[in-house]
Amino acid sequence: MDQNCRILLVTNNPASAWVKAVTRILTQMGEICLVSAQDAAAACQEGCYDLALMDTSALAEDAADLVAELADCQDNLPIVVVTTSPTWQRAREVFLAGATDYVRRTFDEEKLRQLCQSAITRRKAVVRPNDSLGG
Amino acid sequence: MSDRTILLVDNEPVYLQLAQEYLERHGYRVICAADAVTARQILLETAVDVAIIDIRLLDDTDERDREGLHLAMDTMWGRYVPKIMLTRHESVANAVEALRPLHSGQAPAVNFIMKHEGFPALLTAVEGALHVDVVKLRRFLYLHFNYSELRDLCFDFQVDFDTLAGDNKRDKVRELVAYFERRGRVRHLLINSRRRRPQAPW
Repeated sequence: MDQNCRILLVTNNPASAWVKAVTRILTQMGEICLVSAQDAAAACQEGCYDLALMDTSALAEDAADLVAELADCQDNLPIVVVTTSPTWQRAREVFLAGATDYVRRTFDEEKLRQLCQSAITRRKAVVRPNDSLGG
Repeated sequence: MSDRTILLVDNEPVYLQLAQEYLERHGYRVICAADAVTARQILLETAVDVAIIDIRLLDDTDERDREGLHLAMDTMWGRYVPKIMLTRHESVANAVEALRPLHSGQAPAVNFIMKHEGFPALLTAVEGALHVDVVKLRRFLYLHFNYSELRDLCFDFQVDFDTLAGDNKRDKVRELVAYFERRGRVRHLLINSRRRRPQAPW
């Protein structure tokens, strides 16, 4: 597993039990940068991240708008949207805006790790230049 | 009459007929298929601009039936056709599976439409799927970027310019656009290149 990832954790609820748990778990994968939704785009422009994890609880902004904003800031940034109450409409909105995944909030350590690792791996697959140029 | 061809795949004959009539009224050429085998054959043999595929193609009462999703996930030996998933049954899991990028970086579908949203929503999704005109994009890149600038553009997307097939600029541009098309990311290329040339006519 990649131990040197830079993960942008976007949340307006930094004191929540989930954010604390996620921070603890993902610290093992690398550096976690915790930012509010309002500061997310600026943080993304300043630094290059391997993953953005977006907590939609207590989000005043529209999640899809925020996803689009982050996707614009950094090409190929995997953006995983985490929600407590998933709907197909919201799933469609965030994917069309550029999200990499849309998942129900979980405290399961292994699931969280796999989720992040999978999103990062997909990103690496996307930017690999030689995989199908000749085909 | 549009020169765009839509492949419409559904095992519900009434919906198939009504949707075909609606889309044809809006200028599209529509080819219908009632099953995945026929649809796959058409996708391989015919120039289809966009495919609309119902998720359940075997049994509408079986929630495990995801034949349409499997069809959408088929890479067709690299032939990229934007696909719109269609369904009568609300499901977050199906929406996620249809729109989530796979390991290739490309999602099985570019949109997900519920039948109850109506034909206008389907038409809007078709227009969205066809939105990037790659011929125009190729022309734009060819006319407004020199070799060195194309190399910079590739560098920003972490694409190795030298591995793109072709010996001249026109070939390189064609391969570059095709590369992004295969990954369903041609819009990103369009946005980035237009951002670099805001004054150039589109």
